[in-house]
Amino acid sequence: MKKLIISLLFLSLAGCATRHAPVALKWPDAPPDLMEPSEDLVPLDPNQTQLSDLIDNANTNYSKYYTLKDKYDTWQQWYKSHKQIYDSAAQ
Amino acid sequence: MYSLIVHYALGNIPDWLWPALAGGAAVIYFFSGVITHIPQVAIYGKLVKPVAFIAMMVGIFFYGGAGVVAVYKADLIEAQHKADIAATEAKAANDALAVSIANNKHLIEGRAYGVKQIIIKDKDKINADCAKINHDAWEDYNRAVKNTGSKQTPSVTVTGAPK
Repeated sequence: MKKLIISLLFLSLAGCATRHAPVALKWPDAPPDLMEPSEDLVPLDPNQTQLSDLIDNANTNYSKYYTLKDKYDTWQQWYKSHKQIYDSAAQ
Repeated sequence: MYSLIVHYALGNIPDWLWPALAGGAAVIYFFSGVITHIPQVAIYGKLVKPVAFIAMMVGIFFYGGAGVVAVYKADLIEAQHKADIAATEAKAANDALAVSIANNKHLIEGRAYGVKQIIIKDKDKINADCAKINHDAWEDYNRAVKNTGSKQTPSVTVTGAPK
């Protein structure tokens, strides 16, 4: 009986290991366009005093805004998609 | 030193050795028990029996360890497989987003150019009723253009997870 207990104790010692395999998931790099610094809006030149100049300047700035908005939306999409990929791989 | 033993010594021992040792030792243990009843060789049986028992325990112990290692290796392969799939999916997502940004940038710039051409074409009509913008309007407009937040980025300390 004593030997049986000793045997069972040995079996209980027969190895313990963590179930988390050490595989590192590489965090992906963002597309280069998303890493570009944001541009400032262009102020109106003091020498440009016509209404058409103002509208032209507004057109330039609006396009900068929409470009930046697109980058912002894409960053969110980038984060969501990569989080989903990461979560599915890390399960 | 421990790492050396684990990786190079124990790691290179074939998997079949431990069940063979446990099984062989069990057989020896059994027969050593039998021969202890034979007076002429009983002394050998008494000597061999504890050794066989210890060998059997060692075999069982390492066989269990080998099983855990096998499970661990299977987990490792599965995790690596998942990581490979994730890397492929991440690259595909990145490529799709990069194309989307480039396309939209091109589209926005193209439309802005189109609007600019219309402004040039309609310049006289636009300026007909307003030849010159009031200085205050110009100043207020630029004030709005420069309505930025702080240019300072927050200082974030990242130490990373301890290794």
